[in-house]
Amino acid sequence: MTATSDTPAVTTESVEKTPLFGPDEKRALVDPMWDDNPISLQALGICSALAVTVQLEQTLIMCIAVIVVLALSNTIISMMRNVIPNKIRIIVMLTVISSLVTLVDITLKAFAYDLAKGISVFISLIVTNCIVMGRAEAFAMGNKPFPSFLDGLGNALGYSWILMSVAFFRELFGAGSLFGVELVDGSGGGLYVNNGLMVLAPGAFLLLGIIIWMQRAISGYSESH
Amino acid sequence: MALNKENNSFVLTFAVGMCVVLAIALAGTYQALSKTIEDNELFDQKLNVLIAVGLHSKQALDEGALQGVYGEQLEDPTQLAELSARHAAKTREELETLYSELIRSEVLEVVREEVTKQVKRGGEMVDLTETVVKDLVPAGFAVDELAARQFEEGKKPEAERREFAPFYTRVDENGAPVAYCLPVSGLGLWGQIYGYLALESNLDDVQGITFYKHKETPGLGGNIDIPEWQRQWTNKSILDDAGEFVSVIVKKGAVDPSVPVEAAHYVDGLSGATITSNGVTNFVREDLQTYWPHLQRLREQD
Repeated sequence: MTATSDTPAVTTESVEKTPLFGPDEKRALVDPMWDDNPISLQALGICSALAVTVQLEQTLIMCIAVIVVLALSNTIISMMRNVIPNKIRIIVMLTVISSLVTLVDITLKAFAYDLAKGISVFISLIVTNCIVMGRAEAFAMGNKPFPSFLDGLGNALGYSWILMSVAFFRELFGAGSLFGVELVDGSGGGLYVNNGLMVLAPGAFLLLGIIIWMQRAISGYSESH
Repeated sequence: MALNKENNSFVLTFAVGMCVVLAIALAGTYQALSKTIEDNELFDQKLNVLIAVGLHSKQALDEGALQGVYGEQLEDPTQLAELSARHAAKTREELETLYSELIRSEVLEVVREEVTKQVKRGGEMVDLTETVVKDLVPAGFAVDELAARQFEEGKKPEAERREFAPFYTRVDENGAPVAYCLPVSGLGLWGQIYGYLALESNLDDVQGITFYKHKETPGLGGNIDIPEWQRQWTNKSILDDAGEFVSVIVKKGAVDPSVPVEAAHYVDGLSGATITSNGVTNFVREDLQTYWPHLQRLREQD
């Protein structure tokens, strides 16, 4: 009796006339950006937050890639949720996600070759980003395509703003520049000397820690419960 | 009858169907974009030849920044002009023009022969046969056709395969050679590393080295991409004082400039990447040896 309830479900829906962008949809989009942020509160996707945040330009491309993959994978998996056999659902999700990642990678190689060369490795690793699988399993499998799309978008944006803030400080203090435009001469001749720690992964760890701390303090999250 | 989605035959059909659909989608996209990607890859190779022979750099620097990077080497005004031209930002069209004006490319065919040597093994003399490069002859086609020709050769049985080697010459406005450039490639830690090594017109001093494709660990072996490390190769010599071939060696650790041999032939090792460093040392030596008859001929012409 699992998949037979199609007809009644459709009628109740059309009677209720749910708005296209109601409070539930808004919550799916906005919550992951602040109150339920995938990086700062769920501590997912830390790997790429450390690895691709040396330069803002690379980080921006990485964020766009994650936004595209996460929004589309959530939508596609949500559309298929009623036919995906439970036994192989994880493999199905993984196949969909990795196909999307490959598509993004091919597109980047065709239209932004130089940037793609630098971060191709990390783009491929979006497949293993816990946020993407996590949202597919936790949200898309149980919700309609449109809210799932918004949830994917929201989570990706929540992920992106943290990555961009880490990259902002790493590039500013590590190379004295923003988006590759040099602001201060940090090579040793001027007032400021580039901070080598910021370029390396430990610097990203410290920055990420500080950002998570501040975000949790402001949003009033506590792990005690 | 209700659709039983936990039924094994449905699971199997679903899995196969999904794979077919996704495979078609991916293959279709790749087909549509492969021409652009190949163009990008070819341009990237040209770009790296330009970088190796000293006509371009990935770092766009103005004159003030040049002083910081090159330090006191910049007293000579002609050198300063050359370096600021190298580090000027250029568009793709400008680079294509630069390449077509100042780079001459040719494809050589590597002719190998088997040499039997008498080697002492365990107290008695044994015959040891090895394949060495006998000569390099013009292959009779342009570099543009290289990929297609190599693909054709790949279909033949190994014994009949012809081996091709592209070779690039940087010329000045009058067509006189300024630098020579050859591809270098070989195994690093995770896979093949591809790059170019350029020699100055005396065919002894290194003009520059670049790597355009590799799978080394970012931050460790991946540091072969760093311009500061690549700049160390410039002015190292591949011949010793007696004119014997020694190649350039990536040392384990830092080079001691007070030791003449190290100052002339060694570059700093990459920390945490011994296998990458050794790989680079080995394939640079092997590739220089492959091109040796050709380099020797160019030397004699001067």
